[in-house]
Amino acid sequence: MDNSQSLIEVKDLKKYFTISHNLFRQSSKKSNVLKAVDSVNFKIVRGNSLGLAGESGCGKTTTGKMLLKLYESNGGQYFFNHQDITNLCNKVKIKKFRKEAQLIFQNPFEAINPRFTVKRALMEPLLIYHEGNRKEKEDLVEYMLKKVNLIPSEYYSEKYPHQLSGGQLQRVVIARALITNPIFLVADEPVSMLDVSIRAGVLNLMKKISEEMKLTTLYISHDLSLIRYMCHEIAIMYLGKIVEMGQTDEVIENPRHPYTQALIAAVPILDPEVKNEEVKIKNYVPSPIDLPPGCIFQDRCHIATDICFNAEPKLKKINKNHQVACHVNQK
Amino acid sequence: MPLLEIEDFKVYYRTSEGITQAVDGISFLLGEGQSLGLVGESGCGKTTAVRGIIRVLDKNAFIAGGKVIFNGEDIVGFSEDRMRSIRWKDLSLIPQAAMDSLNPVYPVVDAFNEILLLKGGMNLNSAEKRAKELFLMMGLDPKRLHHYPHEFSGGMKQRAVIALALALNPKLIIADEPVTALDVIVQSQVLMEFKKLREKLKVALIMITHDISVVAQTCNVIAVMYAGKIVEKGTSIDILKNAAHPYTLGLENAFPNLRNPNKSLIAIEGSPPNLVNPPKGCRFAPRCPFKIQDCQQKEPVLKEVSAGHYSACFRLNEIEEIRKKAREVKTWTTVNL
Repeated sequence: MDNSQSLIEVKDLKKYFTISHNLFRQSSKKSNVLKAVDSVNFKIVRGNSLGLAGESGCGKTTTGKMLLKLYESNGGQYFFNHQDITNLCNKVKIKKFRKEAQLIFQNPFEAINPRFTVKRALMEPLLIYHEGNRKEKEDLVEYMLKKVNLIPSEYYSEKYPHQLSGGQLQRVVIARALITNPIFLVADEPVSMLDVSIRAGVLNLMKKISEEMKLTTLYISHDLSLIRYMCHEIAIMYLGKIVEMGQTDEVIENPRHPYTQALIAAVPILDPEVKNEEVKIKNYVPSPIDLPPGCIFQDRCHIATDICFNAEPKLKKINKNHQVACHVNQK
Repeated sequence: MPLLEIEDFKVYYRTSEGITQAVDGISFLLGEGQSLGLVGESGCGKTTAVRGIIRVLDKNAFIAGGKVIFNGEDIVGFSEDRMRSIRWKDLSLIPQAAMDSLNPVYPVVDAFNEILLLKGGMNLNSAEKRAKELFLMMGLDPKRLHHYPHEFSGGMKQRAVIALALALNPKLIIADEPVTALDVIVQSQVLMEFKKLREKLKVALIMITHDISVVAQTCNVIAVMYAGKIVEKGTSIDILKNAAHPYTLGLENAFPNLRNPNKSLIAIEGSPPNLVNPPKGCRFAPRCPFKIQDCQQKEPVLKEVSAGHYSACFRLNEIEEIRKKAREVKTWTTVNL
């Protein structure tokens, strides 16, 4: 992977939340730290898509929010288009960044102002970012509606959110995100609120448009099958850390981390004649506060050895397209 | 004699727009110890159907006809008092979002006591013993019985609610999306335990889900619902390997499969009909790429495809060809909505 091609690059990115047990004394001395995202490193090559997978609470959404600068990081560096924007505070530059990096929300029913028509909702970003006159803006809205297959566009542009179905609304959300002509897109569980028969249409649309617009995308999803369908690369997160990362097909066909193996084994097999094997890992995801030293997965792992309880495994390359953070399976 | 026999069961809602025919004449059989998966998209009437069976419907819903023969008796005519006497004991419901159905201000043990004392007629001591037993069966630590729901993780709450449903050894459990809110690893653990337990205790199960893959592994029989009707039913192998209804075929196309990366997803264009004024004829016809003239005029009934496998489609005689065509993208993109 050539450095010069990457649009997104994060180094040791961290996000810690301080948790105070005392409701009335926020600054009590004994506050705990929740490491929501703990030193993650990855790159996304221009035009590629990375899928961030993991169970709820693993820090995938927090990571996405940091990449959009909706959360400030507590440490590490974030390069966007080769510029270090970790501590960006110049208003003009932030505005430019916001135009270039957009978000697709999980729940389309809540993402659009119910009092706005579709046209008004799509105009909103243009009022902020677009310098053209009214006619140009309206043309752009029409163009975008056609692009997301809301045809005839005159019909849909006058509709209010409650008059549209979930799939149509999500298309509006996509159109709104893309209308500023961004280069980077974060999609946080983009279809989890939609029905199966509708989902495929939205996914195919996103795939098509990302290719056309040469978008760099980060998909956040708990659904490995979706990531396999959509993404070039995948990163598996567990308790704020990336435990395995690489080319999607390679990681899913040849998972090396026991957590990834469990995640894959847990996906129900569609064929009733083939039985799912029992997931080997035990216990529940521990509380992310006050984690023990060593590997974060130690207490659930069925192959842990002494070293796992002492030293923290780092992500290591096991081949050109595959990195894993596991002492036992790294060799 | 089957444990449960549903015949032409109808549940309608009164709404400001008119009568919504949410469940419109469904029929199925469930033998003792059998498991049935009721699959369909949101709004297809699957939840309404089972809530109608156990009669915990919303105020504006009413049963518009049909029979629910449970254990040899038609329970549609039962008074509320009589219904109350069979809920939990003979049939119990694991509601949707079961994780939120535990009262947050009482420890979990109170939920067990309520049922075991009131419905089971036990005393406090034996109820506590039974609750511990149930916790152990579901793989939970009995010491946590006295904890509050917020001290449980999602998976633990789900297990507790399943244990609750099993408390009085019912003959039938209805589980409405029992694993939907769970993470995939927890989901597979809960399903696995549930399955083992069910087989041990020989409880019959109706599982409602929008996710076909969940029932593929847990149920022997699957019924596919669309717009208030059952469009296809059969064994899970019939449905997943030899689907004989265009809607089922379309659903299978729309599902990403982790183990088959080369499959391209195909959406079913359009959206389900408004059930206040459902389309004449087959309710899937407007979205169906295989519709013929009859489909928009006459209503198809369930016909046998092979032993025990039924489908409500006029073109069953051409099903081989339809199956083949259903796999092509262009079949589905050229539907005239």
